[in-house]
Amino acid sequence: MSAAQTLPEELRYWSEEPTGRADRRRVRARIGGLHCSLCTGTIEKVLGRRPGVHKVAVSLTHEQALVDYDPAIASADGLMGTLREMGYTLSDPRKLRPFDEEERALVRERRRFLTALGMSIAAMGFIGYPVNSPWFALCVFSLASLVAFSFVVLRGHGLRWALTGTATMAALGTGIYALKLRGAFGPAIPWITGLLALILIFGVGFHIVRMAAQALRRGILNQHVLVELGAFAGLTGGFIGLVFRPSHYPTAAFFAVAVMVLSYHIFSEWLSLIVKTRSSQAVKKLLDLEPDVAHVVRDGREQELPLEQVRVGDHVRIRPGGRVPVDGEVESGESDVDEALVTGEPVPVEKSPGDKVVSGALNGHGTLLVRVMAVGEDSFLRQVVRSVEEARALKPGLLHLVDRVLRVYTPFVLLTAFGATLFWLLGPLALGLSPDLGRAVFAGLSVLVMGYPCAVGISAPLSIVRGAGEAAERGVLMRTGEAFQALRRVTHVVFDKTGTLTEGRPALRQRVPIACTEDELLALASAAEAFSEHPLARAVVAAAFERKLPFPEAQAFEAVAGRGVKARVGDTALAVGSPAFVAAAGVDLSSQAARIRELETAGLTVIAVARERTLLGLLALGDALRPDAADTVKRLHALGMRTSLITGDNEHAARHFARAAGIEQVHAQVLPAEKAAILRRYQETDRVAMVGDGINDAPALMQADVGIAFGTGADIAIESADVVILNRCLGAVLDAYAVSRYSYRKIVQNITLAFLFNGIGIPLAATGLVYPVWGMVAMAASVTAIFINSLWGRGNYFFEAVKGVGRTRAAVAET
Amino acid sequence: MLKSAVFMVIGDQRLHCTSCEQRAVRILKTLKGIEQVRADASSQRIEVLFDSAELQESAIAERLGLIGYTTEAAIQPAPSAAQ
Repeated sequence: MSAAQTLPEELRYWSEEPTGRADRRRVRARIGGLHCSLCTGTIEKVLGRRPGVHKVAVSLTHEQALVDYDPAIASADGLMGTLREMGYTLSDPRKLRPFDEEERALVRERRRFLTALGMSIAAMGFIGYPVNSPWFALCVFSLASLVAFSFVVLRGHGLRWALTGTATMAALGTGIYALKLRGAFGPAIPWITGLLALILIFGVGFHIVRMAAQALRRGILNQHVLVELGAFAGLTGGFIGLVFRPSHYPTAAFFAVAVMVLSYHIFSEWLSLIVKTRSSQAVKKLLDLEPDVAHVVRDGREQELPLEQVRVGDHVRIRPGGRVPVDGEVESGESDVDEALVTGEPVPVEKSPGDKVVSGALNGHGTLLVRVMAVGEDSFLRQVVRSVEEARALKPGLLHLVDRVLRVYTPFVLLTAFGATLFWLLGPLALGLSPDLGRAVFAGLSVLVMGYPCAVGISAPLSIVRGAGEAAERGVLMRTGEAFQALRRVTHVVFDKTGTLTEGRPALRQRVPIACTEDELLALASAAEAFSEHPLARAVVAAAFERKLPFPEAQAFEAVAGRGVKARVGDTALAVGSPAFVAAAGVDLSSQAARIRELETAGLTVIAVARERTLLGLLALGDALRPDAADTVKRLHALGMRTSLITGDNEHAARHFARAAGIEQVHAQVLPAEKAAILRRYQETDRVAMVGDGINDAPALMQADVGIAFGTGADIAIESADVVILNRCLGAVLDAYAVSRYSYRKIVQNITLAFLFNGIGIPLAATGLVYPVWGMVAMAASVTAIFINSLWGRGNYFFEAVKGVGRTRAAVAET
Repeated sequence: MLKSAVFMVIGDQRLHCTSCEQRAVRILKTLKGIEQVRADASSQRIEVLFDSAELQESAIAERLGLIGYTTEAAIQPAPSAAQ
């Protein structure tokens, strides 16, 4: 086997993961050079054919490939080698691409585009028609649209910059045009334009040639192939003109059209890159990228160790407010632990020696010493990560609309070009005339040149720029192509319970006054609880505040962690806390035992309130439905969607909230991995969106056609989702849906507009009567049309997107 | 401990509408230690529930001053409910 196997871990460019079976191994790699959604299918096909390979899954959004194989037959080296032979680059998925590198790439692409744009304007000037020609107006229009284009791109850098840059471009264009009309260049024009075309194709835009070649080798006919067909056809047409010098032959125009086609393509590449980079940066901003460390106590000394070095049996200290890094058992200490993101349990759980804690939970106000029971692959978090990876592999794929169209369109262009050539060769023969070779070649090349729908490359990204901008205004981050293209087709929305349908934190749900009024009960309880930091105590005080109840000031406060508090108001003593705590203070609760049990079986936490030795009443706390939950569900139903609730919590609580929200189906006590399995079952008949926020939701979020996470949720949930809700409103699901539908409509309109000009142009070109310069006019017109259609009234979205290019990380942190 | 306080808007700039209310609530919620805020244009009251260990009343008044509201602490009604 090759040397890579002996390389140290950090030099390898992929990561290997266990699959739980001895005869299976799994490699995961980040793939560079995925240019379109057709690539994913090709990789899956090629690798899937290799002996020993069980499963291949490629995700375009995450730029990752996952391969399951039998190590006895295949090797990771060999498989990854195949990928590289296909022209993809590989890197370890665990390594993030640094921010500065991403920005540098954007700046590089911008420079490339501005160069290309300048060359286009020059080329347009060189081939302009004379003033008295009927086409003069069209030439001026094209030139003007290119100049306006430069203004739009530079606008984001401030008006002065934009005006200076635009003026330079305009001067360049008109200057060359004017000189050309006076005949200043004479016979040199074809040579100059030819040089421009050569520089653009093989210099500035050589990477596109390379990508097109790779795509062709993989048997994919994508945008890059199509654009190079157009560019090379232009080049060929020009050379024919230079060599054979036919009369009235548009040599310079052929070269110029090659320049222009590529310029537009470079622009669309840049725009796509901006869209992709920005959305991934937005997601990264939401993650708290703390290193995974644990405070390990060994030999009486505490040290901070990376998680990988923690062993089973180690003792780990967890401080107040810290995240639980390991799975284990509490050895000493007491604290309230918030497991809402892990298990879906909304009320913090009291942990004392002997209790188990799960990695990912959030520690409350006490310090715990935990004995580690599971590490690495056996730990809860790693198991969830594995389910997420599995779900990623099984996530329904999506061919992007543009790629779907191109798959049919590209062969059609080739066939038409071929057909037109053949027609002009054979047609005259059939009529007994000599074949018209010149016209045949001219017609074929013209079709290829006309064939590239320049505007198609920008049709999707521009709609996404607008859609993402509109979504952001409503507090929604649309992260992936899936978000825009799949969400509008969703027929079934699955909700997680805790933190999604509900607030995810305890709130007062019921007041049971016994020896006083409801308000008195709450006011007195708040007076004592105001001192406590326990989440339940905070919920009681908040409830009093909400009801505008002023609470008296208390003294002599005394708390027993996790049980209750004692305090004095005036000269009376209060005891507020768990029924056991209040009973221990000498209060008789026996008359209320049945009531307390009833509340507790309903999933509520009961707090008893006593003054001196009299029980004043009971407060029941529990998770509360989000205020807009019922309305959101109702509106989803009105859209004809079905709804389900999925939760790790018990059946009783699940049914209660499902009923309150109006949700039809309920799955209770579901394990994290099972959530994804339930979704897969739904996906047999429905297109499913999953809404969740917890670690335990991550596999389901990944599995769903569209995963929707809350920005306040767990990192792994956010990373697994396609849409992130930032404004904490469940109703944002509907906003995202509306944006998705709207954006998709825009994409369709744009693509239609883009192809419309070619749809007219190609048949005309096939006649061999159309000059390439008309193609350039058509391109300028279609690009302008799409800009107007996508950004009308909302140009600032585009300016904002372009403006950010090349900023520093510090500048981003400030915003 | 948690305390509630009421600020009356007394300056030239008043709470006029729902968006004034929301603005006041939003600007206060950015303070660390604020639990809940309620602003009411009809009574010109801004009621705040906050953690007195993390935040002083003067800091809340100062923050409201930043967006143009001059306030005075209102005397809370007697805790009648507790009698």
